Amino acid sequence: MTHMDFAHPYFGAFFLFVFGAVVFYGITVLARRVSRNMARLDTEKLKLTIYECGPEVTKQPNKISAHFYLFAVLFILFDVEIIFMFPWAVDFKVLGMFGFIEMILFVVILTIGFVYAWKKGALEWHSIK
Amino acid sequence: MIALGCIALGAVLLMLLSAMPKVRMEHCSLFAFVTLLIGLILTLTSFGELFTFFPLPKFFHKMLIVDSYSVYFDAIILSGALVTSLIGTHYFQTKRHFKKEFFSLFLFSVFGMMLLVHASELLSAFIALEIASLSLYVMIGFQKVHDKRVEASFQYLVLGSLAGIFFLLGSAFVYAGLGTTILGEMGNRLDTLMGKDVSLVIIGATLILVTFLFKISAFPFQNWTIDVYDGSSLPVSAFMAATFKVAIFGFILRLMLVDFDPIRDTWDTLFIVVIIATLLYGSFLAIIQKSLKRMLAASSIVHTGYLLIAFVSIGYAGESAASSIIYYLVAYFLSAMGAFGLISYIAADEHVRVTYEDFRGFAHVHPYMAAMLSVFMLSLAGIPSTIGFVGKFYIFTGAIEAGYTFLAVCGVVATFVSVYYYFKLIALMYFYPACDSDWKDVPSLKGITPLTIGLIALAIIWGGIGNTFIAYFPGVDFLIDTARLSYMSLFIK
Repeated sequence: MTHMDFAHPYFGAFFLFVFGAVVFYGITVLARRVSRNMARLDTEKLKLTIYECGPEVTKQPNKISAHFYLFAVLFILFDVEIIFMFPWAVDFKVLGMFGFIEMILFVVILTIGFVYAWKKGALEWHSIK
Repeated sequence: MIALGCIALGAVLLMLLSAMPKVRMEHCSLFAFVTLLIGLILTLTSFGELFTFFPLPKFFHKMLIVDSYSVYFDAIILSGALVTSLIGTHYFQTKRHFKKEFFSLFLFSVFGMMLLVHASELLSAFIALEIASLSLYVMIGFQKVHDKRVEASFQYLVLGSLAGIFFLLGSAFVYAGLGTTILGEMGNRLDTLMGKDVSLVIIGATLILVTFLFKISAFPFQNWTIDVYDGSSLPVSAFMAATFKVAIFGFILRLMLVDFDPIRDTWDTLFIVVIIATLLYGSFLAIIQKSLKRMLAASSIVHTGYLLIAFVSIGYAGESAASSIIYYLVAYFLSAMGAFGLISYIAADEHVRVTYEDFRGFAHVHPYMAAMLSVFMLSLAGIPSTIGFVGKFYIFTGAIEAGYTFLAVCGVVATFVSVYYYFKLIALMYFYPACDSDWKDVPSLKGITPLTIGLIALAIIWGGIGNTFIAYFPGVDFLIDTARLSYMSLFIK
């Protein structure tokens, strides 16, 4: 093995431990500071709108509904399924029965998620329960 | 193993059920309870036997293991979840913001924890850890309208993912050093490398330890604990404090005892510093808290310190130290669960009865509840005749046997300090006249939740003094013996 040339072999372990601690502290302190200083504490409606010389902003005509993300997520579900299925289909004979059962399990798990989303009304526009 | 499948199936079924409009929240709660009960019964059938095997070796390729050790932890986790669902019954019914999916997530989280103690490979352990944590993140932030919940959930999500990165990087280093990630085989390879340079493995294992110390909230990684515990709803914090810690210890003990045994003394000095800092800082945090929930969260850091004392002494007194950890986990789980549960029952709202002062003279109005709360505080402080005392006794004697007298002294000092913040509540409840608060919204002792809490209080006293009264009834000795047995099952070849 050729790697670190530290004087003490366990210096690396200690260094990583300290590094981990520093990263954790940094992130908590930073997150707290950022959320204290940069969060918009003033939640009055007019102050948060785009500057329009007083009147409230009109609705944009070509706005994309926030519900669109559900379709995007469901699309990714099937996209990933196909990505996994391609190499499996190519090596179908090599993998044999084992691969077949694994793939069935995979599809079943995805189907359960899909059925849940369907029942929740994710496929119908504006009807999330 | 069947129990594991049962919980997974129950979680999936519950998820599908919760999408049906006709099913109500109470049904889901009941369904989760029944699933957990079946799982616990299935687990208890093989409880107390000495065995180890790999289930379906052709299918799982030694990624999962079933032995007495994992069955013991399964039993603790399942009973913890069962108690959470029983204690939470009242809370879930009065606070209507828990939707049906909450219970599905709850079961998924239990499944992840059980998978973690069954994991026999680093990557499957990581996946199990993430299943458990991801469900917990959502459970914490379930009440979206409450800013505190969302903040806690988000903070835990960010920091927990960071800890996950450390685990993955550590696994990669271990794989680079040893060429395998299967537990058991890693230990064998490490034995053959004795006398050679194993810095890669040490670095990898250190990174895995960072994740571990983060999840149990030991000193340098403890600053999320109070905010997250305080931000989440009480049954969820009880579940996190008691059950999740058990699962994490279950995995890391297996890793340390079986695989990293030859290199374990590398971290001895590091651990001693971590323990002393954890005890000091945890006690300091607990003393300055005014809210009871935050005090319990801070004191969970101190309890982590006690557990780590036993964790260091494993190297010199393996069996007794390991079984004392397992026993202390049971003791802490009972006491913390009881305390969190009772407070969630008493505190009607987030803003009512949260500080010490709000409990002034509580004993004169509700003597039974005050008595139960006192039992939990006594057990957490480790006063004799409670289970907490027996747990601490085993840990400190184990540390002295292993030659860490100084650590044992530190532990005892921390216990003395802890008497201050636990007894403050007892003193306020009993020795002061009732404050002019309105006690009308405190529910009376009726229903399943107070019954469960009362049973836990009895179990705590039973664990402390029982055993000699009725022969052949499981008590302390039984728990310790089974813990020893499960420790032995780790080393069956």
